[in-house]
Amino acid sequence: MTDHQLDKRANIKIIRKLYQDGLLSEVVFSAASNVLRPASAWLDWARRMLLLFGSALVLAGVIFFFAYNWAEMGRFLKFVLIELGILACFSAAYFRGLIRLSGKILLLSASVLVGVLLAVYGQTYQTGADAFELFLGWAVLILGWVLISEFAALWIVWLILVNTGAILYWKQVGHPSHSIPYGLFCLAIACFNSIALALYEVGTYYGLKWLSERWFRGILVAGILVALSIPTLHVIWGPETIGRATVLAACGWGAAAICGYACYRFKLPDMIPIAIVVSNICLVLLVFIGKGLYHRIRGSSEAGLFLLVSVIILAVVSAAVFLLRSTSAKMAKGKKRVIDE
Amino acid sequence: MNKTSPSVRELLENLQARGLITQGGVKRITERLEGPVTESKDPLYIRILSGFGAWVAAIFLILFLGISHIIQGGMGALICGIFFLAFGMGIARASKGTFVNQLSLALVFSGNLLALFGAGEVVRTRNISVFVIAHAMVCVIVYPFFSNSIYRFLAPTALAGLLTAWIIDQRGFVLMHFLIAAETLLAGALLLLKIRRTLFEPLAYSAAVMLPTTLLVMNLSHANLWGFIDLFGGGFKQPLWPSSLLLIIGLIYLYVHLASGRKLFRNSLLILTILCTILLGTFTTPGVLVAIGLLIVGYAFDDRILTGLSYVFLLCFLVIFYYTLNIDLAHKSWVIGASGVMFLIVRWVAGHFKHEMVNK
Repeated sequence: MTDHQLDKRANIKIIRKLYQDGLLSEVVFSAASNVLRPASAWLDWARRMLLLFGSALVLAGVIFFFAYNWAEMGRFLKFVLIELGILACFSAAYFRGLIRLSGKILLLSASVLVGVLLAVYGQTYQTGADAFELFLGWAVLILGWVLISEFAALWIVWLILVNTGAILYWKQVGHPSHSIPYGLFCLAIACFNSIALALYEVGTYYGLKWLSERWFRGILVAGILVALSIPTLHVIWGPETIGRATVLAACGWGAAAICGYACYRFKLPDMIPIAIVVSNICLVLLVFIGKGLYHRIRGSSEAGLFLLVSVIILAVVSAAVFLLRSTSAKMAKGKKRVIDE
Repeated sequence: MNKTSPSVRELLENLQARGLITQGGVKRITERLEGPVTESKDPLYIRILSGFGAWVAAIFLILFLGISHIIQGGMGALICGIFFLAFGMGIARASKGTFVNQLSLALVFSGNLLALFGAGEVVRTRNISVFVIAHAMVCVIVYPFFSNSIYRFLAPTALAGLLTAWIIDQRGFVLMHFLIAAETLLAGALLLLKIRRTLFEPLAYSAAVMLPTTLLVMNLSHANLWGFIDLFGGGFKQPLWPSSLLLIIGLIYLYVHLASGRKLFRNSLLILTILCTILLGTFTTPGVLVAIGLLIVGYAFDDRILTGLSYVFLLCFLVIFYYTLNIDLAHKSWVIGASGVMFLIVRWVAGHFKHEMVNK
């Protein structure tokens, strides 16, 4: 007998299902709903939503205000207002405490305002700095807050800043000077995101609750695979124009896909990253097959090619769906067995 | 779900201790929960992958038919479409294999498209009403017999899209309010059903998507954002208040439905919520009300899909509302900021209610 179903957290979905199956009467269903969703839970939720939307609107209002009055404002006023905003957000976050959601959101707002300050600085003094410096500088300046925030959303913002800064650096410096090959750059981005993913896994292993949201893992896995898929597709589509680094990045993609699947299948069972990996493999595989067919059949029977591609898409996606279903079922069985033991 | 919510076992013990459920009832529930899963529903990511794959395959299939000239004329397309629909439904019933399921979905998608194209060609008109009628007929016939949730979700959504396009094409903007009324009723009836049959599950999500989408189109055409009306020849501007009024009533019904059933928000808090809803309905776009409604239903039923949808649509509607406000940027910044402050004040007031609740 397994007892894990009974020890799961009860939720509205489960009791609704039981009610639909006729195992709970209307009165019991209502009573169970009241236990799971007491008035205080509704109030807490409503207050969370109001805080979220209220803060977003106030912040948007401030940004609109600046946008309108920008031309008339003197340099001094611009800087004072933004710096006051940063100070106010940071102080409020300090007094609210970073345990509360409101404190975390205030710290996130302060971090966003740092970017606004840098943009205004660059605009006012015409420093001639490249755009990547803004993003990387922004990331460096808020790193301290990010480290203490214990807030996944702020970490994601930071990672986006670093990724954007790096992409702009390559576009503005690395690519024009031919100092960084494109494949190597993609590999570097993937490595950086891999380090973030590794740190995330270490954090969840040590029980950091603020990292328990699974979407964070999905975003990081997607970040790694997207960075490596671009050179891989390049290798498939135009092999005559690629360098060694691109081939290396394509090999990296293969390794990342295999390791990602193996890791989240056997070590840290989670279907979301597996689905991302499998979908990504599907895309690359379809491009590979499509390219091969295009070269072989071109000119002879275009109509037949379309039919063939249609069948191949169905076959590849069916295989992926089959794999995901069976993996999901096996993982569920494995989980059950572990609980039984 | 509340992080401190009890386990299923604790919940059952609680209900048993209160005399609401017998020992036999607990045993039956335990057996059901521990027993084998009778119906397997694919997770969302599998359905997205499957639907996307079938859709792309259907496009290639239609391209093949078009380029190879196998289909001649509208009647040919119509007959081929009907054949594809019947064949797709037939093989789906005959086998539950993954490839066959994918193939059947691709055939039904392409059959549906061919049937619409064929109907338009046979009637020799470019009037969208023909497509609306043809698609409605296909939907009514295929929906009950083709048990694929992806098709059951997409087909009604496409029907709402076609209807909206027809209304805009006919410049009968006032009909938009009737469409919204129908969609509100459908969404309300399906989402709030206590016992929802599997057959209607995709239709419920479809209604939850089509209602805000129709409102979004109405907003875009009302504000003529990005030359939206000009695409259709320009010219109409109807007031939004009938839809707002309807949705205010709908949202209040939702509060009362959730509150009276579960004895929540019985008192002044319900009044405060209703007041805020009326204010929101009066001053903002009706889409905001729908997004809030979806947010509440998503939370009430622990439905992550509805919650995600509500966030996306709420963002869209707020952006459109403030973008189209007929005031200069300076006033707009004050209105946005003040709205935010209002939200925070309501939160503060709600905090007092919480203190009262705790003290009681």
